[in-house]
Amino acid sequence: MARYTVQRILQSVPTMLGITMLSFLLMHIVPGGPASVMLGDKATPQLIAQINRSLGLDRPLYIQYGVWLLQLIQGNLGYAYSYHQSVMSLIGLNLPRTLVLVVTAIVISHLLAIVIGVFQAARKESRLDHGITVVIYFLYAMPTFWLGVILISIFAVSLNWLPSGGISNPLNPNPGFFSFVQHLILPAACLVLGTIPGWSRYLRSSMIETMVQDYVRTAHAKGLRKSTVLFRHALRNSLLPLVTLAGLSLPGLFSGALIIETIFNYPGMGLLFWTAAQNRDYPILLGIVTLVGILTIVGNLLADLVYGWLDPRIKY
Amino acid sequence: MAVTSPPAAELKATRPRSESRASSPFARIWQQGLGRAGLLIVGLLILFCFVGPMIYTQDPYAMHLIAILQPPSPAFPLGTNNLGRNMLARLMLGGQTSLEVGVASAVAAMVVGVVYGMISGFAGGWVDVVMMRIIDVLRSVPTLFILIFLDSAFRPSALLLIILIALTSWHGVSRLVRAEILSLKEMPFIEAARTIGMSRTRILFVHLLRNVMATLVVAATFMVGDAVLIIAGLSFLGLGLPPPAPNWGAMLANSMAYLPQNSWWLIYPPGIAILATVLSINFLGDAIRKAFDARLNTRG
Repeated sequence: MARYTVQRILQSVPTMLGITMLSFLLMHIVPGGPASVMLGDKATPQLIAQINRSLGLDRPLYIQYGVWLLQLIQGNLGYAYSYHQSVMSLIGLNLPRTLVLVVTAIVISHLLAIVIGVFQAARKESRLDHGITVVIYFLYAMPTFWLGVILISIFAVSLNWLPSGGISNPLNPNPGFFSFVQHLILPAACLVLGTIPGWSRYLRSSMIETMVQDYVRTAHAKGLRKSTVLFRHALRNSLLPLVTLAGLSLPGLFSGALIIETIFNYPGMGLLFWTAAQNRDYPILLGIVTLVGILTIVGNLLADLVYGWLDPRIKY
Repeated sequence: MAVTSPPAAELKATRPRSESRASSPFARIWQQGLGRAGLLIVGLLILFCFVGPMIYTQDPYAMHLIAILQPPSPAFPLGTNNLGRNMLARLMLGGQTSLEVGVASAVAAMVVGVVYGMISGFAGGWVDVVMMRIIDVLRSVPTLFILIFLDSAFRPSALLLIILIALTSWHGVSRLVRAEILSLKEMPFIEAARTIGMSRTRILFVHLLRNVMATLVVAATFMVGDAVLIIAGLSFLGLGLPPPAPNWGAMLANSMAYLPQNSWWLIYPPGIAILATVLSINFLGDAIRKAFDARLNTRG
């Protein structure tokens, strides 16, 4: 296991390097290059030339990449001029909020997908199963942003049950945890509804596959109750691949979070990214692109390791 | 999911002659409920967007300032927006841009993806390893983030936007094509082609390409749906297609400002249009996949 872990970590290093190269490349295809990346709208030819000389941007590309990479490893992602702060401190402030949103959504989605998937598999080809499949088909094609708008129009505007955005009530000086949860419900629901279709469909087919296995038939033959067979025998064996699936859906979750944070004005990394795109604050954009890429790889790595740890059949 | 489709020759051979099934792919799509629904909805959407404006000849840009934010009425069947513009006319025109750009960028992405995947699979060896590593990197960074970055850097025209979408969403197809090429290139007919001294380009583009066609048609169908969603999403975020031409995503974004007025007629039509497009294209994609899949066909 230890050897596999090390091996798997080493395997992800080239991909991570690839991500830094991609960011470096993006920095250089911006019209005007990195100097205009740093100067933003204030860039003039003289200023650009001056910066190029003082920062060594006239040196060969591979040396520039090396220097930039070293800074990156030290956690220096540059300076966000529209905020007058370092990119790292901005991300440090906003990333945890995005993680709360994404992790909440992952947990709830898993639970609901399991319930739906098991239910559908247990009554497969029934009218109810087909009905749920139709609903899921619709959710699958539903654009996240439209879903967000609908949720706001129903729950925030018409019914006035929940806040339409932000993470705290500006009129309340001491918001507290409850208020935060209230603000989290709609964005998280939006992300959950976007993830459930794929996962529950997957679990349904995985369960149907498991339920024809010999050990499930044996369990039935032993006279165990139907629910025991479903949950103790079939479900446990169908669950494993869901771990990998969660790892693979990370890029989609981050994209979803970006759109959702923008709609609900939820101050996470996605909203930061979107605002930076409006202001052309390139250091923020590139910092987040790099970080999201690395987070995705780390997420997939964790999913793989957890899979190996959960499944005793896998020996390294 | 990867679609495995046997070469066309094999498909014909496995199908018994006496079978009453329709033989053309189109007819096999039409036989399925989903395929029929997909084709009908896609057809209706195209009629609505492209023929609709010829019948309903109201100006989508004209501002009726005495009738702003009006709910649906005989004069304005889908109401008006904050500038008093006719929403039905805008929905039709917006659909044109959304569908055209969607199809164009899907085609462009397919071209990039197919060429890349074919080279990677056919070359094999370290070329393949490096090319696949590059895809690993691209898969790790969510497309939307790269697109928004490029969008803010270049503020693209519709044409540039098509190119940007193509450059960021080709890699799924590449993996699919590569996998097929890898298995196809070991087949006897390719060996035969090599033995008679056929050039690599000819083998690649005449023999291999023809045999991955079924996979490509399915992938391209789904890609159109994805592209329509991406463009709508970008336009919703205030990036994407430049104004003043309307498009479904931007129309939705505009509706958000008038949520407190409960202007439901601004929220639902563009959303339903996007949903109907994506849903019907997904139906169609599933139906085409089944129509091409010989294993499913013989089983019925």
